[in-house]
Amino acid sequence: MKMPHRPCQRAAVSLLGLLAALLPALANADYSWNFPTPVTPIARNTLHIHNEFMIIITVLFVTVFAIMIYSMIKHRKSLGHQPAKFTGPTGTVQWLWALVPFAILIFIDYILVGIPAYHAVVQMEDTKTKADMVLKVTGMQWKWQYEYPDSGIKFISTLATSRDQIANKETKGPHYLLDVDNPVVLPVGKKVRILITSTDVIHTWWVPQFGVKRDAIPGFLRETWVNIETPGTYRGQCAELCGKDHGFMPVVVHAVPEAEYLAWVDKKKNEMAAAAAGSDKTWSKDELVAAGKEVYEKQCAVCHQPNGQGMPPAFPALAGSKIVNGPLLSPEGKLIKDSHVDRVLNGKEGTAMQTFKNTLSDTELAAVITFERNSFGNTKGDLIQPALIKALR
Amino acid sequence: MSQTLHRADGENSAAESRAPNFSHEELARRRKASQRLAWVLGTVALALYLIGFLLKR
Amino acid sequence: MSNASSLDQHAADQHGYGASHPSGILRWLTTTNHKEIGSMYLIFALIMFFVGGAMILAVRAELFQPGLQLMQPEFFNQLIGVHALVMIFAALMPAATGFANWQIPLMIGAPDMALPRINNWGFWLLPPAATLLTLPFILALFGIGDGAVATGWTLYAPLSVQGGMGVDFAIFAIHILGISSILGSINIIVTIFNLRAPGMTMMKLPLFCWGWLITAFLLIATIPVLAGAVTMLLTDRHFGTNFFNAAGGGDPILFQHLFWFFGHPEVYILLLPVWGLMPHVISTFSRKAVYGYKAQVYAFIAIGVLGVIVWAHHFLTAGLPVPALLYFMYSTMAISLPLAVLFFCWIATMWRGAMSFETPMLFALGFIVLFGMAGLTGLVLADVAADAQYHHSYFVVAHFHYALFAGGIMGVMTGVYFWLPKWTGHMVDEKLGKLHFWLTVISFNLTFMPQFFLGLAGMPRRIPDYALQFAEFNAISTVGAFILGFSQLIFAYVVWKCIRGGEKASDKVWEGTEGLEWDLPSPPPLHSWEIQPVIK
Repeated sequence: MKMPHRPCQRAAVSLLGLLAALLPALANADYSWNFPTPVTPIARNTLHIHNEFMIIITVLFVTVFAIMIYSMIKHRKSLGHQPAKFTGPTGTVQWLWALVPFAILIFIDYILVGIPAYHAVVQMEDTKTKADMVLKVTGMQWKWQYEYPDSGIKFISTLATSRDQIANKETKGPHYLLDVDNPVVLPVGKKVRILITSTDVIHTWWVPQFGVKRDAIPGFLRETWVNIETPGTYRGQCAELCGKDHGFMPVVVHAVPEAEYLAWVDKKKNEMAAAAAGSDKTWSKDELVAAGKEVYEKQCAVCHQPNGQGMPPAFPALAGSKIVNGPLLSPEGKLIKDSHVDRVLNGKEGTAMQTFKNTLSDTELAAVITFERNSFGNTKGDLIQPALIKALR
Repeated sequence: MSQTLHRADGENSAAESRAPNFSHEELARRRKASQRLAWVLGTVALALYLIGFLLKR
Repeated sequence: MSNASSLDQHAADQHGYGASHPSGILRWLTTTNHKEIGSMYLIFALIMFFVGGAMILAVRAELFQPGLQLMQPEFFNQLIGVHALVMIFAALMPAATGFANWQIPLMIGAPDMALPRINNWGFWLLPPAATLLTLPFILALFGIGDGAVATGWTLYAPLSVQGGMGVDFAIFAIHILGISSILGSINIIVTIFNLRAPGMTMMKLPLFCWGWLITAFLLIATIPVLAGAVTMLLTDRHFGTNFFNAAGGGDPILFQHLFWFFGHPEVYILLLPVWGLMPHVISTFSRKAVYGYKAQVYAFIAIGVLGVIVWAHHFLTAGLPVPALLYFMYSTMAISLPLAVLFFCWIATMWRGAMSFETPMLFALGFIVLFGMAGLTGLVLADVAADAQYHHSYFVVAHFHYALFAGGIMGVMTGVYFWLPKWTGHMVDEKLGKLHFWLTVISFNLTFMPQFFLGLAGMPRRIPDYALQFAEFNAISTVGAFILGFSQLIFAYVVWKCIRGGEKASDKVWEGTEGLEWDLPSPPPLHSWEIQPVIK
């Protein structure tokens, strides 16, 4: 074969080469054509309804367009077909022909689809009866907080995939973007009533295998429920555009047998007690800075960046910031409005800066404030003790 | 179309046999009517806009 | 109509249209002629179609592979939202208004639109609005502000309350675009009501005009609600009101109600002109009269009415009470009935006709099949339980692109291929037209079919990066999108070529056409229907 010379030829050859390279990759890829395996009664029901629908609409599609294509083949000018003159149904038979499709459609809409749909809605919204336990989910930019009101457990769950993986500097792990530091743990075979809200903008809590998706609306409580049938790890994502890191706030649920769940609850309770004890002890500056660095990387670096430079104007820099380098507290030891401590504790309304006193412990707050005042070139040199934060709450 | 649209006259018919042009007066009358209706529709739109602010939850 | 040009001056004297004829840019700035304004609308739409398309190709390029390659999430969020706003408000709506301007006076035998100066104003509001919408991108390059609106086109509060300067720009752009649409709608309604030729009763009105009439009423009913919603947003952002802030006694969901009270009818606003145009095209190339004219008129009206009472199916996951869920589910399903009437009539018009397959007919047939998929998946989406799974996912993205690209944009292209010979006096290059059609249809499906499966597998929409299991379908979709995008350059070339020259078009243009506009010469003189046509 002669080598291609003209640019368009070369482009065509390289395009073909690209396709040839892609094809085996495409053929071997793991395609998913339908919902993931359902693990709750709702998800099973939804999959069933969905499959039924797909059959119905496929039949409709094929029937209608078979008629159209038949007409396109038979009634062509090139075959010498003479056009008919009718412009509407005439006579009983034709009226029947015209009306039967609509009768069928009404039957599909309100009987075939309508009745199972009714039952599915009622089942899905049945959040209030016979719940075994309650889980409260709070969406916030860009993480989820989970609370177990029965046992007083409360923690935050954030993306565990490293920023380097996202920036293509590191190989992507198997659960890329669908991995968190603290997964929710739920017992199998129990009806869990899930209350959902948000602290800032609207988020949506979604685990495809549970078949539930519910918006988290600031200032309002929404609810749904799950009854997970099989133990396992189930992954989902925030489904409502909630700002910059909307794509980076996954949901991960560990469903475990009840005994294992109870053991986890005990373990979590102990951890929380230890953390609470921390707020009464006096910390050294180095301890606080070290602990604060960890908190900062998890909670703050998303917006203010690991180097504290922020992304102005939406996310101001902390390095050299007037607020961070301002006084810690008033001389009487009171909170100063719009000071560094006030910002971290109470957030700033109308921005992504949230009220961290609701989500972080006294120790974490004290640590992160101390860290910020002594990092990124900020040299305030002062520190704040967890006990003081406790008093300021 | 169930309506069969055809000009009253063929291409070749004499000008006199054509339907009368929109006369100056007729067109003015129709323009006036259009303007009145336009004001009504515009007012409706504005009213819809303003009513929104009285919404109470 | 050889005497048409001699009537030009006569018309200018008598009716004051273009009483003076400035040349150059001033001519286009001051024109009140419906054909010139129609052309400006269409050219503007075509330009913005490429602007919106370029944005989404950048998005698809980013989504070609997992990981962030080309842009940061903030910029990604700006692109998706502005893409939608540009395509809806600056491409599809102006294109439909351009059709209305060109065709309605020709079809009803009117000398021009009833309110020519408002017509001019309606158009010239568009370029500043489009500038406002896209300006923040450019300002950000100079370090001013943080870019365009990054909330998606839905502008949901409180995200939009939190957003940067781009949101304010979008709010003002929407206000201006809204005023433009309302002016255009008012003009269309009064023209259809008052300037029909003697004998053209409402039930003889061409279906394209009927479709637009319903669209115009929907616009007047819903644009003010959208304008109200974004004004409230503006006051929430800057003047301390709490319409959408729960802490101040407001409700974020109120914004969704107001937005979708506009947003759902907007879908029909975009589609009704196309539905109106389809019977003309199908009847022409089937050489057979339109089937079920009255049924289609009633279906348009029914869809218009149903369109304003089903809005909440756009946020069924927001936690509505059960009775509301059931109401919105069943009322949404009801829309399938009038839509089925339209499909039935389109196919019955073809049935036992004498079909030929010129480019406009190909686009019409492609429209029917692909829009059929949009309709059927829409029926499924109405089901609340299943919707919980589809909603906010790529399934919805695929669904509404089948509705608005295959339904809206391919519909507009049908109209362009159908009417361009009438407007320019030259036939369209059939070979290139057919190439454009096949490339568009194949690459469109290549782009959006995989998105149905992505949605089912659980990929949320509006994410700049995705889990590895979504990689293959996204790669296919991106390849499709690029073919689709670049195929549209053929369209631009075909239009350009047709304006410049080509085989001379006859007055009737196509063998099977019927209707007043086809009695005029191709191209029609600047001032047409000075001699009043009479409809028997």
